[in-house]
Amino acid sequence: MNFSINSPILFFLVGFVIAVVLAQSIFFLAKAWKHGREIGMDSRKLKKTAVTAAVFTIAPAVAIVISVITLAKDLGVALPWLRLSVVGSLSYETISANNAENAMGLSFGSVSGLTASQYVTIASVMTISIMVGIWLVPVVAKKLLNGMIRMENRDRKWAEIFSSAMFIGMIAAFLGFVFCDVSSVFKGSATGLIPVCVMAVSAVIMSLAGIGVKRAKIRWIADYALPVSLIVGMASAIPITAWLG
Amino acid sequence: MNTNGSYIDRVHKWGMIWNLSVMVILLLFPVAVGLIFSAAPDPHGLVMGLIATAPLYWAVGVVETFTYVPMLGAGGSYLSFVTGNISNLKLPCALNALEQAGVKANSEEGEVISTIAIAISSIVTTLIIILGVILIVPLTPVLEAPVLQPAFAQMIPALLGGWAWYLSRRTGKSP
Repeated sequence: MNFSINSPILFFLVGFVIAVVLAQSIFFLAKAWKHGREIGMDSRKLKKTAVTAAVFTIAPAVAIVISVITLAKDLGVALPWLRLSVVGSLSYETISANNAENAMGLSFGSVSGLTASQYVTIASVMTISIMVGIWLVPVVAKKLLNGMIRMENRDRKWAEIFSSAMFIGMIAAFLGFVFCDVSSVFKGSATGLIPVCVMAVSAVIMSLAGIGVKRAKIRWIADYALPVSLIVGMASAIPITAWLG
Repeated sequence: MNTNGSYIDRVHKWGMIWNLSVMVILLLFPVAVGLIFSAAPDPHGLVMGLIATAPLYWAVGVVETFTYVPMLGAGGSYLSFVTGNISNLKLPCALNALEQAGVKANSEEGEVISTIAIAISSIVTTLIIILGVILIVPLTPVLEAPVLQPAFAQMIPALLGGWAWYLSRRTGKSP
């Protein structure tokens, strides 16, 4: 069979994998919902959780579609569709595709007419390199979660400190992304301040939402505060970039 | 949470079956493409590509597993590590849901809320990507419009601003 990066058979294969993963999500959703009702959780609470999660997901999912479009120029639509629907992430896929193409002497963003061999190589690198979490979670999750519960039963305060420390450590890692280019200010460029300003706008929106909930007692604001702060923060990046960029 | 309870034990059992099955199916994708088009991977490209990519992301994968699992709960972890986009989507989505529901991740209610939030987020993401793939021709000029690029480039800082609020709640300094 002649190879093309947009061959219908590739879409069939990818569609099958994505259908399996979609089935897993529906399976876990149904089981969690049923168990929630069994332990007496209010169905309105469960529905509210579902609606809030769906609303929050829209903006990041559109950003993921953009990554599919970016990678599709080199790899066709099917492989980026698979990689960004299953296991992958926005940052990882671009880096792994870039590394795999460079290893074969190709230049990311300007590849045309991949051969089947090159395609299989890139798909293999992108797949194998991201596989750790998917098998490590079944190996360690039960022990890890039971360990957390044992720790909490032994010393609740220490468990909370441990949990907060992990969260703060994760936030600190992400803050590196925000502040990594701030030093550009000393070289006469203000572009490094763009992510800092965007983060500040988003935090201000969240704080206003918090005030609305606490002072004005408007509870529903809390349900949509995070997605709204995300979208307003992203939208603010347009004028901020025009100003500082 | 009662770890001897049947629900959480079943979640671990289902998670193991689903995750390992999806892993096998995923690994079979390049194999299937190779068989269908009678093509083998380029050995040099494969080895060099893996050397450049795998060690870093394997290390990240280990760290992410030990960091995210206690925050996501059992069902949420199994789903998140299959559907991906954890830090930029699934984790904040789950944390927000737990916060709004007023429950902790390692409680039985938290397990349910986290799993529902991540499952819905995964389904919505998959559907939006499918829509994007179907409409890729008309969508490309819109989503790649230069005026919109800064918005998508700054998604993580915009997300972090909201998380700062969540952090302040955790440390008892809520606005």
